[in-house]
Amino acid sequence: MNVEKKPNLLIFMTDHQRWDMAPPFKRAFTPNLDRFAKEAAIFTEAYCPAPHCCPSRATFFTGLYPTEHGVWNNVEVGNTLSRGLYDNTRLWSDDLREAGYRLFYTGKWHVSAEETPADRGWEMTYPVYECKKSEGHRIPPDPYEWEKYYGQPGICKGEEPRMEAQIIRPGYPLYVQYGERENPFNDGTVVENAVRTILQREASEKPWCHFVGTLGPHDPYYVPKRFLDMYNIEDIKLPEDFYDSMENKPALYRRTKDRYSQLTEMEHRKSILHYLAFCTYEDHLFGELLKALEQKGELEDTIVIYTSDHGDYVGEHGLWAKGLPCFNSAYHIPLLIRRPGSGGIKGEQINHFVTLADMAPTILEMLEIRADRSFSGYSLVPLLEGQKPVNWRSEIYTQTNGNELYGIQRSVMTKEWKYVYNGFDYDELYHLTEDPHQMYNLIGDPRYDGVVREMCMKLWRFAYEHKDVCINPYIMVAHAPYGPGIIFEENL
Amino acid sequence: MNFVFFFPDEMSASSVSCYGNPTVKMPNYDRLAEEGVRFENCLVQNPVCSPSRCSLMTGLYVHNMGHRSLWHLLRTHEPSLFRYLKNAGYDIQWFGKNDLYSQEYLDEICGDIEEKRNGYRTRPSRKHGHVHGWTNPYQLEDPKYYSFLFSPVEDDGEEAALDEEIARAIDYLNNWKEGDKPFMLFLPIIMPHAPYDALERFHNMYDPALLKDHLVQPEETSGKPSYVELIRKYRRLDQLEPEFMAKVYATYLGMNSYVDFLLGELMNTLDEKRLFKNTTLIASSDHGDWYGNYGLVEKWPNAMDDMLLRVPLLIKTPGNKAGHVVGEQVELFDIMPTVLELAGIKAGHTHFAQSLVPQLGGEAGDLERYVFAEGGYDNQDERCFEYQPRGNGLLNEKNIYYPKVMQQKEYPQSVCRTTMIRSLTNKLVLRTSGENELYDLVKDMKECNNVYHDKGYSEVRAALEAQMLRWYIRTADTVPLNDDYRSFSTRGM
Repeated sequence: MNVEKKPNLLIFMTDHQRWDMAPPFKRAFTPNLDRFAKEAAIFTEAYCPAPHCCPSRATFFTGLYPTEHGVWNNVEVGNTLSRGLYDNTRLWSDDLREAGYRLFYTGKWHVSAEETPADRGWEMTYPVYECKKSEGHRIPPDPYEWEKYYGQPGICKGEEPRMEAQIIRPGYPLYVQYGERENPFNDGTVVENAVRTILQREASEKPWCHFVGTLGPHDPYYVPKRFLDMYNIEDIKLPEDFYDSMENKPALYRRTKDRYSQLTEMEHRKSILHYLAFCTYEDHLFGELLKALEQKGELEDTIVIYTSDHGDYVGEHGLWAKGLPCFNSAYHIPLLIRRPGSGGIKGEQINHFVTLADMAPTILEMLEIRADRSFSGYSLVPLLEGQKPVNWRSEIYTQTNGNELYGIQRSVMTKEWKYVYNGFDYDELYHLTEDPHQMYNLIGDPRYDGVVREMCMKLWRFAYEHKDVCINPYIMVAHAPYGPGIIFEENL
Repeated sequence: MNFVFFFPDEMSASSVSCYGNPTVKMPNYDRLAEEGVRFENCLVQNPVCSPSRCSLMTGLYVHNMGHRSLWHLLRTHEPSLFRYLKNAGYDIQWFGKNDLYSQEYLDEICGDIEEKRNGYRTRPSRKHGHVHGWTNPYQLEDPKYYSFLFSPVEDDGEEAALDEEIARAIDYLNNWKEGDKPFMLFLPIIMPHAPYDALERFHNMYDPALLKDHLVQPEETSGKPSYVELIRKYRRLDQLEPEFMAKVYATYLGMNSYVDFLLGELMNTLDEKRLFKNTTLIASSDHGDWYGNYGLVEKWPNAMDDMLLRVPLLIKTPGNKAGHVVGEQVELFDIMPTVLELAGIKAGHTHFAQSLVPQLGGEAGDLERYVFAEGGYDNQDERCFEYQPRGNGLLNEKNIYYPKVMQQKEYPQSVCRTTMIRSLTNKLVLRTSGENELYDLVKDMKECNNVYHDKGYSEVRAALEAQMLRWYIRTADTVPLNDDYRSFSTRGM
């Protein structure tokens, strides 16, 4: 197909948004998404590969897992594991650009500290910035991190009284979990700029791809008042698993819960309210984008994708935000894809396991652009067409080497079981069909030894196939109940 | 004289192009047959990997040293071909699996044993990757789960990836120069051993629809030992259609074409380096595979069908009679004295193999020669049974060998000690369980009808039994070549 006939592509990616904040689950008011969902394919089992923005976004753009693209945690912190992608890693936007697409980038990138979207051929509409390249030399990290502490009046002493929504940590900046604010994280401005870009974009024969990335509903949850007013605190309940003491789970999970224990139950509920309202705010912004498309008369020629980079615990097990606690809510994201035209799935749910690694091959296939390489995800086009392939994946895998600080973890999940290998503590095994909230860690129970072996088999095969090298057999670190060697079986 | 010993695992002669298989394309094996010498009837001494290899490298039968299982390998007190070569100044370059020597013996033979144990630090230059044995597409509940038919291996459509071992071998040949030590390049690669899969373009090379009638169906046989039915039951093969077995056959042939491609890459390198003028190339295998015949797959420790025992043997050596075919029977372990003679080395122990050098020069073989094979184990051979716990996960029902080990556990007699004697016209198989076989290889080449109890063959049977007894007397033991001092004497010390 000539590039002139290809559809446009609009992607709206929020940050920290769980799957159940979108249709059909609708824990939050999302009138624009509800309307949008009537014409979209709704993926109910979509997952990101890592519990953090940077690796997940890198996976979104490359179709590869963190072990393959090299982005592990926050690319901007001094102790980052990676400032950017491995050399010569292609993004799907490279293929689009080469095929003649115009590329527009508005909002959050956070894929690399070595390159900006402009370095990849995107026109950055807002914000526009450059980054300081390290040129590959090994230099000590710039200790600018200390500026957060030095001479800052916001550092807690430990004696001050705790006010609502605050978490006091002596020697650390004061943390306030929620509040009221207009234009939080500048998201309003980002979308305003995106809307202007859409309306003022010059007509051309060449189709466009526009990525719009907001920061909401990322913590801390500061939301404009009119969205908070849409919710009633009486209707907000704590999640069932809030009271999980996590005695049988890694000590690190309990430690993070201890922080949040400073908040009262009412404050947790208010946090939930703020989070829901934040999702409604993001839905409102999404609505603005769709309105702009409609106004411009481009809605019929544009594929629209709504998704997020990872989830948020939102009070589950007493936790917030995301991190090493390997609960599904940190990974389970919304994914809605609306294609123009009358064919394919519209307004229906697709329950197959999908991951952000699927986006690259999907986008390329939807736009009929051939790639010169294979991806670690699958194209979702057969699912979008209404097919139900029998050989679809039956597991979801996650990879993290720790957010901000470090910790090795790999997990594999089927519809029935979830196994988490922790390099920093004991492992976890959950029987999801009986224990969907992951309350009871069955690791160590000899009755499930067979299951653990099978899950280890899957985990290490995935590791082998995706070039994972966190497999050192040194006696002090190699603690998996069944190590990587089990995947190579004996011949008789 | 250098040696390249190309030794794919589990390749039956009947599945090779130049041995008359009507379907498979193996142009490099064909070239080897045209330029070298082909042995039409080469029989191995045991149908299982390690026992066959132990015989091959010693020139001794199973009954001499008791190598009956995968876990009883050559120990340092035993002689072997590679020790003779090494002591004569050869560089033993080994790229492939072990299943031959004990750990201590490996230390003596392999210069790169540390890399073999801990992993090579460098990658081979040629494109290589995972080429075999990866994904079982069936669920455990599906009878096909235990069939050994796996999914095709991902193929990027570009240059075919080499087996990593062959890629290393090619690097070795490319780096070798005149003045370096002479080499024995030993290439015991895994394919076409089950599971049945290969790079997609090879996996799907042959059409199963055309192959269904080429397989011997179980209904066409009579008098086969009980292990046949048991294997079919345990492995759930009796629930599979002949069309499925044809797929197994087609995939197995695809694997052979891939192995042929690897041989081609080796031969190209030998051509480019002009090494053929002082190198002998040997291509053979340690045993075969049923690949769907008789409704069976892979092999069985005491089965003596030609499908499992008859392997290709092709040898190209400078000055040989090109295109010569030897129809008379030879035994796999004849490779040992053949290599020794070509290298100008004498064996330091009594053995029963015969050098094939005269045949390489164009002579015929020995029409009167009988060949022998042994296999299986009885109660006294406790450690041989494949179900013995060795921490290798075989007793897990998800393991593809689970049916095999369970059958041995529950029906130990079905894998009992067995001995075979074969002439060009007949084959006799005797078992301690009493399930004996006799085949008229002239009238019944495919060994469908067991005539052991047939009165018409009682003379043939008696003659073969007598020959087998004579052979046991002749080869039961070997005497050391050197003497001991008889009396109490300091001179003996």
